[in-house]
Amino acid sequence: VTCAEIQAQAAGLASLPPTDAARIAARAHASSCAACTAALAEGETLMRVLDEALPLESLQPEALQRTAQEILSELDRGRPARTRVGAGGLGAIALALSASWLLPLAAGHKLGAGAGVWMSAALAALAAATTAASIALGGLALAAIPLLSLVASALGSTGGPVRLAAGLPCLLFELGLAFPAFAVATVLAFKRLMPEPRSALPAAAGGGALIGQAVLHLNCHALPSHGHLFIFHTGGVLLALALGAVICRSLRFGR
Amino acid sequence: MTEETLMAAYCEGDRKAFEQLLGLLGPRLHGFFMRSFNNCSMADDLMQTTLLKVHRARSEYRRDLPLRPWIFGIAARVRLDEYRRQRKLAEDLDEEALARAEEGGGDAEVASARPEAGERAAQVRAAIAALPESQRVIVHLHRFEGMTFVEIARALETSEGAVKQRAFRAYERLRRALKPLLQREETR
Repeated sequence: VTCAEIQAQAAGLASLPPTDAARIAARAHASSCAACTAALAEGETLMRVLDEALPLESLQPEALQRTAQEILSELDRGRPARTRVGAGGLGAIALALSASWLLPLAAGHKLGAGAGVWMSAALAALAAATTAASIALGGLALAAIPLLSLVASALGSTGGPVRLAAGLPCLLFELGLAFPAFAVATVLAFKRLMPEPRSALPAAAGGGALIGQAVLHLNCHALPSHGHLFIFHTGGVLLALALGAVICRSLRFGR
Repeated sequence: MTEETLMAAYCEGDRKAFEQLLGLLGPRLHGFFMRSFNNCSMADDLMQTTLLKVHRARSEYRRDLPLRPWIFGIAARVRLDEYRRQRKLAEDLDEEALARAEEGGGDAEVASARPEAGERAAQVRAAIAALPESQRVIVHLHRFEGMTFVEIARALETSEGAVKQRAFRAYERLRRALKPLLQREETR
């Protein structure tokens, strides 16, 4: 670095961060050169004056309010009324969940004992209500889905062996039933009919898997085993929730 | 909450996040246009234009990048459009072409804009007002918004080297224009 360079660029050098190599080199040179020291000091004074002398011009609150109103009204135009979200969105998801419970039965799965049918129907109804509440409320309400699944699994009667070969079909069955509700919720989110897509989509996936758990109450061969229920039935619900959240994060919903 | 978090919430349709963000960025955008055009009602209008453009382009905002360079990139384009309109310049004139066109200006503007007397702020404002527009915008973004040369280059769609060169020229012009003031400040 030469004296001419430093003195011609002193203000620019002073504008650089203190850790910048060019500024450090200039300061090192200036320590043995009075003219360069003076030039750099002038540059640093300029920076101080610029920082101190020009506070932001005051902005009229009315100007900010005018802008805010225009944008907020655009935001509102782009957002569907919550009642429409409730009637349309939740209705469509409830339909998908009901179909998920009825279709495997209509496809010829054995109904088992009468008490099992009532238990399954009750769990399906609770699953639908919990999912709707989770979608409408969002946030911590999502926890209701795995909680309900845990309670349903805790109702299993005895201990018993946990076999992967018996558990995997149950887990995949739940994930399979998670898909229709998740797909419906995704379409609704893209059509701006979901109030909070980031929580609604995982809730729909978890709700679908919970419906799957309700159906499994009718046709799961390993039903009496607590271990099987917790690992593969509740595990399936948790996995569906997690997958729903992960996929949802990669989607971009227009507003 | 950071500006980036607020922007993410605003993109999701959160009204409160938008209002908070407006409170943080509105005055800064207004200041940006005031320093370019020194006209309050014009700064109001350009701030509003910028914020509406930000609103309509919000789905393009990348959440992993800092917000200010993105917002000021939009503001810089609004500023350039207005500058072209005022000076009746070609519509395809970009930052680089503007800088080249202004290079011939020399220090005459600085000298003529220097106030005879007055307070420190008035002198500094006049010296900044006398800078070529292509340099003034960089001083604003660098000194007043704390953006790095890389961020400014991204916002103005030019190279880091070009930004640094214009910044150095601008600061040297300011040093020369404000020499008496700086000497007084140093002896204070």
